[in-house]
Amino acid sequence: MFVSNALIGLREGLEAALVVVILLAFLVKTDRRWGIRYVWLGVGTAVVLSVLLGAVLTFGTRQLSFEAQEVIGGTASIIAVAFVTVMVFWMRSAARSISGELKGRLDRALDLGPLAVALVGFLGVGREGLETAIFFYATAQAAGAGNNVPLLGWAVGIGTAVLLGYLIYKGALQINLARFFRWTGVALIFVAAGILSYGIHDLQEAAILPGLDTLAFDVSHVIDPSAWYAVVLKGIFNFTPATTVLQAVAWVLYVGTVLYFFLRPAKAPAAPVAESQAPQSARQPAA
Amino acid sequence: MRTLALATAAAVLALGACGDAGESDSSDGTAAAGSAGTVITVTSTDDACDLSTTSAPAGRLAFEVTNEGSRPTEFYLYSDGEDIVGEVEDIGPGLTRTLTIDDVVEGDYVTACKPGMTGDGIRADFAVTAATG
Repeated sequence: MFVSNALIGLREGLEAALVVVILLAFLVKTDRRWGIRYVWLGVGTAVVLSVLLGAVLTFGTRQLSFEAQEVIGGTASIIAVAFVTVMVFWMRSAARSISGELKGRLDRALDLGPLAVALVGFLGVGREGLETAIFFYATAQAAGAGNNVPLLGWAVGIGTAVLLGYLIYKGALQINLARFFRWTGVALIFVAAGILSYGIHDLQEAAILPGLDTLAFDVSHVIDPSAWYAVVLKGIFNFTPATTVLQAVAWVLYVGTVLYFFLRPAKAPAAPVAESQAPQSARQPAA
Repeated sequence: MRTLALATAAAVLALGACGDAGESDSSDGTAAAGSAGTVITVTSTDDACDLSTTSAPAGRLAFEVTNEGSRPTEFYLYSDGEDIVGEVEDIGPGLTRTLTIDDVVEGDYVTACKPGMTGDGIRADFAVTAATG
């Protein structure tokens, strides 16, 4: 009872933490510390809103229908993907300007303002926030009825996710700038593709998008969805053992397109500076 | 502060999507209907899925699912053609979560609990009858 509720908390915590952690590490590493408080403003707003809305839905006479819940989660996820994608290219242009390939002009054009930074924080946490808050109140109600094991399990799971997020943040600060941009960029692209797939599945469940029963693959007989490694896979990459064709197609298209543009060498005339260009262009045809 | 304004707008939108429900508890298991909808209690264990009633009048349905098993479970309502009408996931052991579905029309349905959140689940027929009143 403890472990399975802890795993649910861990998964939801990881889903919320990853984008925020990478954004924070990026702001710190590129001396954009002004953005940190906007990230926390967005995160804080998302948490407060989720907790309030969750309370209203749990204890009030109003309830959110299944369809509305899926539409909110799905739409917020897809909007989050749009912002994370912009963030990926923002990081790319920042990396280029740091390595001297581009002058400040383009960097400024792509620079995200305070509102956009706050929105990334808000959506990163908020898209799963309501679901997490409702789950929290369910564990609180069980505790109120005399069984506090689920609540303890959930808290330990969320705590573990926060700790992991902190370690990822610390680790990201250790690696050098060029590597940081390359690998966090690539990692973010896979995370965003997972969020896109998740959002599509929500909208399929709400019957806004078709094809919920048309599965691309189903490996749930091999990968137990409630096992810890499946939980971590879902928490980080939103990998689901049973994936629909529409999810798979969107995932492949997104990763293919964004990864291609992300890894494509810049067209800047001042190219020879970049010692890291060779492996990139070698990789490019495969993308 | 524009963020806050946006957030507030989102909250208002989300609340607008809600309806009134959950007030018509049917303690004796016979589904009481009304504009507030019908509440059906479901008990999911590792090898059973017990519903307080196997039929309800058309309209808003709220399934209160309690997991008394050892693994997380899910609860689904399928239409005759295997389409998912509604589902609630991540019901951890010891928890009760509610699946609320608006405007369920008259017809034959199938309910399923999925202990371990995989497979076809433990299924049973569920009938939605003509709306009363």
